[in-house]
Amino acid sequence: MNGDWAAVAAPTVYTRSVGEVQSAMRDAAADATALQIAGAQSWADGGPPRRAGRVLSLRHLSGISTYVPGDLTITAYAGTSLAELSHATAAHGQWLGLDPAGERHGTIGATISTASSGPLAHAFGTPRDLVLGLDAVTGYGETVRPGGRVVKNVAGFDLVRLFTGSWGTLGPITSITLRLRALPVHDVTLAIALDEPAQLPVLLHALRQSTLSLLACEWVDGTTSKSLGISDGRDAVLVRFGGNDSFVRGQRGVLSRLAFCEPSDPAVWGALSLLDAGAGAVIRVSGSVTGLPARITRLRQEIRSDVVRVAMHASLNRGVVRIIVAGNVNSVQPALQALHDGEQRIPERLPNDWWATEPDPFGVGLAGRIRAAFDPHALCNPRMATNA
Amino acid sequence: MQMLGTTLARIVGDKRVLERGSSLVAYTSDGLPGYSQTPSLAVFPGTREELIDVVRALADAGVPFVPRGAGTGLSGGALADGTVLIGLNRLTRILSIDPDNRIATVEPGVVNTSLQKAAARHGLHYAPDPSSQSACTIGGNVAENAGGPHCLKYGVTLNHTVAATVILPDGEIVTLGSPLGETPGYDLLGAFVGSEGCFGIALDCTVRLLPNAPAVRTLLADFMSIDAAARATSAIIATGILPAALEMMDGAAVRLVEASVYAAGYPTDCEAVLLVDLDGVVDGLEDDVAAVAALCREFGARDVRIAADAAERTLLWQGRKKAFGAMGRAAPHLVLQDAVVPRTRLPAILQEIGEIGARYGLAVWNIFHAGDGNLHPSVSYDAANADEAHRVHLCMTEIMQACIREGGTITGEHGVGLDKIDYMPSLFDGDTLAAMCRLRDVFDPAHRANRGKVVPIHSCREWHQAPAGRAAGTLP
Repeated sequence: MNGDWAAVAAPTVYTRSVGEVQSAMRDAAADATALQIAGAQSWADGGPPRRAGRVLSLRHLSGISTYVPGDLTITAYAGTSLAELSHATAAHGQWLGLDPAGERHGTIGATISTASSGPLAHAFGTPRDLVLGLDAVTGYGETVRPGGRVVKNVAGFDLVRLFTGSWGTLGPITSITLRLRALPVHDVTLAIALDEPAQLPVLLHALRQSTLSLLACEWVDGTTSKSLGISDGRDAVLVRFGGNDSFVRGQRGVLSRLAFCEPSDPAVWGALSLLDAGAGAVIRVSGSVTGLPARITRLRQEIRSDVVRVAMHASLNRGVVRIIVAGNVNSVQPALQALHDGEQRIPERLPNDWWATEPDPFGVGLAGRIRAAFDPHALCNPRMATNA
Repeated sequence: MQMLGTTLARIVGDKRVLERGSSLVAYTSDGLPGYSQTPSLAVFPGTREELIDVVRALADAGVPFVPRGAGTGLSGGALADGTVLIGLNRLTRILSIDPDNRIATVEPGVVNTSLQKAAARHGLHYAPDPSSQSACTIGGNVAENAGGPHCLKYGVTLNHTVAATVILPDGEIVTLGSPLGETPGYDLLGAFVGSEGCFGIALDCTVRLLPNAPAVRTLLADFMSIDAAARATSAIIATGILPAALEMMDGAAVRLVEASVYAAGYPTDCEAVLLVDLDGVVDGLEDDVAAVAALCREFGARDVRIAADAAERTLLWQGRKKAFGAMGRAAPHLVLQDAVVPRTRLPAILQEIGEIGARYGLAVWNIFHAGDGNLHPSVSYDAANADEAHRVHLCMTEIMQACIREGGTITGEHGVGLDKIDYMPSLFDGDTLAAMCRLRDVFDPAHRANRGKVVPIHSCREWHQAPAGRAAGTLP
């Protein structure tokens, strides 16, 4: 993750300890060489192009340093893979409620640095809700250790939230403490196929008014549903819930009164997280939850599947649509870069030349001043110049 | 200062500026007895525009200020020592409630329960529920990142705040977060929530509302030892069942509550009670109730009582929510701490707290959010008794240091304010404190907003000299 095709040819410094990360930062300051902060580079073309002379790899700064199952907290180094975390926690009947897009060998450091989440955000929130503490090395070369290992903590100004989602621009995160949950006794996934796209607003309303308590609830477009074996080509809503026998039985009953549901293979969630492979552009568009059906309709009209290969899925609880486009993406550039009233647009992956017109959210106003305060020489993931 | 008072009176009206010592007495303390500071004047804007004009007038004059909501804080955070106090308790409008999208936008002075009542009309509620919720304000909750018993399951204020319009100390107005979902860039809203009035003042806050749980069950388990109750707590958490709330009160606290007007029917001969709320959909809830009750019995509960109806549930919770009020009967002053430990460390730390209290000849009461590991060790005392006050100070310092040693923190929901600032260097190293200072410098380079709170200024200044030197090219 955080890979940088602009720096692919740049030499890589592999670090295995926090001390080595600090040394790399000092070296960068000494010879004024900007660093590309990298994890497993499983998302090598994500984010804007960086202007870096060296790659600082945290892939080998990995491993779980503290895990107390009774506390439902875990501390791991940044290079620890999501798969390793899943394996370790599952052995104690627990999990990290975080399922970002991408390969499971992607790192927790990159996941938190980019504040990436997936369908489980419906129940567990995004990384800002799950990170309890972290260690990071700033552009000054100093190590900061905000937060802690407890589930409730308001001591001091919240550098944890500041570094979470900072895309490495304040310095590399080296270690993270996370809140865990108990794995549900039963974990059920059902699919609701929509005969007509127009059924979505009615279903959305019914789901939100119901007594369902879901882990995830994701709309998936028809073509993608078919490719994932969810439906026969109709749009579908994937629903996931988990709990004890009575709970699961009750939730099935509630759902069956709302719509016709069919069991779905839980592996579909993993497949959904891998739709990005080969994509030329990936963006998220968020807005009000009630406006989600209209947002989906508009995006489908603007990004036509007869022009490009497009996959869309959307969180019904959060109002976020994720659009994954492959093929001749330039033909739908205006639609992908348009910003509509009442919406927020987050680009994940774009063709190189598109980034030049994308605003740098870390570069202006308060954000720009914060970045300068933590990385005054722009050593950490400096972005290529933009026109915006 | 008289000229400043005149300037501010032109904005808010003569009656909304207090300058005489007698009229300022009410603002010399907050919810935590033991600290007293007097502002130079207090100003009470009644509209958003007045608030903006006040902050900008203070910026023009270069005058420091302290924002204050209802003054119910428990860390001395809303005290102004010879500076201007900006009271926000007149900004009480609920600007909008969008029940379909489950968000509400409110002015900072809206009282927590006022929002709860407004949300309840739509079958919704605002999850953070500090014990002071009948008086404390949403602006204060955001400033302190307030919690409450039901934050165990639903999260603290941070998890429920989606946007805020903020006036920075220099008068600039910024929008942090978005009610429209994700925002690109740094989580500036996350940095602002819990910044204790040091980063500016929220002109409005947009918060998330949750649908009311279809069913709630309340259990009261009583134990003949604190240790047994603590072990039951750890066991419940370890099962993965997530109660909406899991609170503990020790026997001494129970007896105080039962002797007060807040009596809730707790057994007065026990040494600890656990108060547990389990909520959610009806299906499966009884299984969780049975599992929690069984665990309590396994760890020595003498009795597990399940509230029969909403009235009994309210009564049981009244005892917990008003417990600190009941302590007022014991002595003229109360010191109340707010530490957090990893939940598996609860039995050990409670034993150690008891030992520390005994060493200083003090009875330390424990009424706290056990499910979060969020302790509130408390001592009633007479501040006029210098020896006792000194022992209380030493005792509390030892307790806080013990919590830090157990891998805990010095505040889970009350904030650092004045009260815990001396513990900050024990919890964070110099580089981390320096980084916090640099973040504050971005929001308030002149250090005019709530100066002297949260991070020790003296260490801050030393530490941000060092990185500046290192930035010049001499990284050690």
